[in-house]
Amino acid sequence: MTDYYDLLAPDQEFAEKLGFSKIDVSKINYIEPRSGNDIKPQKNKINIIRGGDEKINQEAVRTRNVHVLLDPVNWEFGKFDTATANMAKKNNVAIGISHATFIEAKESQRVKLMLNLQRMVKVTNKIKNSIVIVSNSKGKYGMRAPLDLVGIGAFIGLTENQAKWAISEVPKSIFEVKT
Amino acid sequence: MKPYPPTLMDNDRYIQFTVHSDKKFKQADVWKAIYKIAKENIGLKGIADANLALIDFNETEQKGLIRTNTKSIYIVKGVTSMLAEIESTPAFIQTLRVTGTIKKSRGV
Repeated sequence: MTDYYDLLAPDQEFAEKLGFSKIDVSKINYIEPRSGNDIKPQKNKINIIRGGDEKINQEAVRTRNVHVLLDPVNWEFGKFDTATANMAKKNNVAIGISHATFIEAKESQRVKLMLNLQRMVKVTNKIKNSIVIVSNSKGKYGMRAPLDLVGIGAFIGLTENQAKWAISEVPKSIFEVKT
Repeated sequence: MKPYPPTLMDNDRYIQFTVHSDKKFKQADVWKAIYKIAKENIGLKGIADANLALIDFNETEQKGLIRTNTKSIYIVKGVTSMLAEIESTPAFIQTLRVTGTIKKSRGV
């Protein structure tokens, strides 16, 4: 049976009930930088940087010890170019997509968000970047079961296997290699 | 009148789901919430293509059955995962399993 991992689950016990495997939360360092200077990854930890700005995205994929660049695009900002994708590939930075952004976005914002994510997925498919899907919710009811997160992949242009890979093998490899 | 030939008919699939929330909901409320979120995300054409329908809902166990077809399973899973509240109460739908017949989904 495949093991599924949610790197940013707010409630680990509930995540296990939903079907995720247990992870060591203390190893995860989540940073929401306001500018490129705020990106200060810690050693021996899985550093997840929230993007959403051109300078932050570029700085995050260049910096050492960054493992995941979460949400490089959002409903307002949709520029994700091949230069950033290439740099991410070179430095082994996975591209993260959080499910919470879909829930938090209003109806009109969700349209733009999906369009931007579909464009980003086209670029990541071309460059062959690793993709991670996380819930990143604030509360228990924002979390989703593993195969429901796979459904999100269908909306943004990932195949079923790619989406399953994004919640199983990619997070597993991040844990194995980086820690 | 001749019926549709089997090759032209949809291959139905049944998605078993459960609702997680502090409150218990009625079948009508759950279908209303699913239909609303589906209309927002895939539109009327998407709903028609997916052949979406709520077949059954057990109000005591808060478990139900959605019908769709083979092509739209992951689209429907994506749609139900976007549901964040039912009747203004925080709730979410977890899909449990996909079966080819209603009988199998009930574990008979």
